[in-house]
Amino acid sequence: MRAADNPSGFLNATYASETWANFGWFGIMLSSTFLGFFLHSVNLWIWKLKKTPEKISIYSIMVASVLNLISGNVTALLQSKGFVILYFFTLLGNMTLVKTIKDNSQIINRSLKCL
Amino acid sequence: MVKIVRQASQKCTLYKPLYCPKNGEHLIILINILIYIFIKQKKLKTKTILLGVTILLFFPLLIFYIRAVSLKIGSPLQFAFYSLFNRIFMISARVAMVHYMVFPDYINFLYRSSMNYISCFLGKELFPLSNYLYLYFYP
Repeated sequence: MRAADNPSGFLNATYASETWANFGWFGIMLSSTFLGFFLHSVNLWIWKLKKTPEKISIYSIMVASVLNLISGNVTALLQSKGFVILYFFTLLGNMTLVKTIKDNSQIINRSLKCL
Repeated sequence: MVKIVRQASQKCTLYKPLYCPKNGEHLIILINILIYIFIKQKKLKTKTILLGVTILLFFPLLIFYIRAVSLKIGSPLQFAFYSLFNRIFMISARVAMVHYMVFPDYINFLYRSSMNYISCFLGKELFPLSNYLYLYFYP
């Protein structure tokens, strides 16, 4: 590789390289296990939710941000690529949905009692 | 042309994909394609997938083509395809290889100093890994 090929000033590699530089083989195994567990948990959780336009769009952005693991580390994915904030947005949206359903059921119950 | 280490490593953003200039248009296109896939789910055709991939790769290919034309290279289309192939399949692997060559033979393992937020929480100084490796190989 020549410097002219890459004038950016950075050599960004996959998350495995970053964890190798930090902890060696242990880091690779730990980060891969953590990522697999975390991403699949989020995936299963989102698929269980009701399919709405905002959830589909958030899920799509999440999938696109996961592709950044090719040239980024785990903290970059979770923090600057927005995975964590998107996760919280989904959580918040889900909570709002639950809250709305509860409020609606309460209103229905009250109206039924009045009847 | 090499960026200063401090400026590059101290940036702190929570969400940057859509406005980050290095991502370009392809990320927005990718997100739209993914939305379409998730809406359609099992009703996708091979033709649609191929069209999506073509649209996705069109913009980077165009940029490489324009670059080849500006450099006055003989066959710009071939250069564009080769550059795209190189960027997707070769460069990431080469850069990863650089990491495995340097650690731990030349530098000892960093023990979480290059991880942005973790090093910040633990009060360690951030080690600019990618920039350091660049300067190591292109002094």
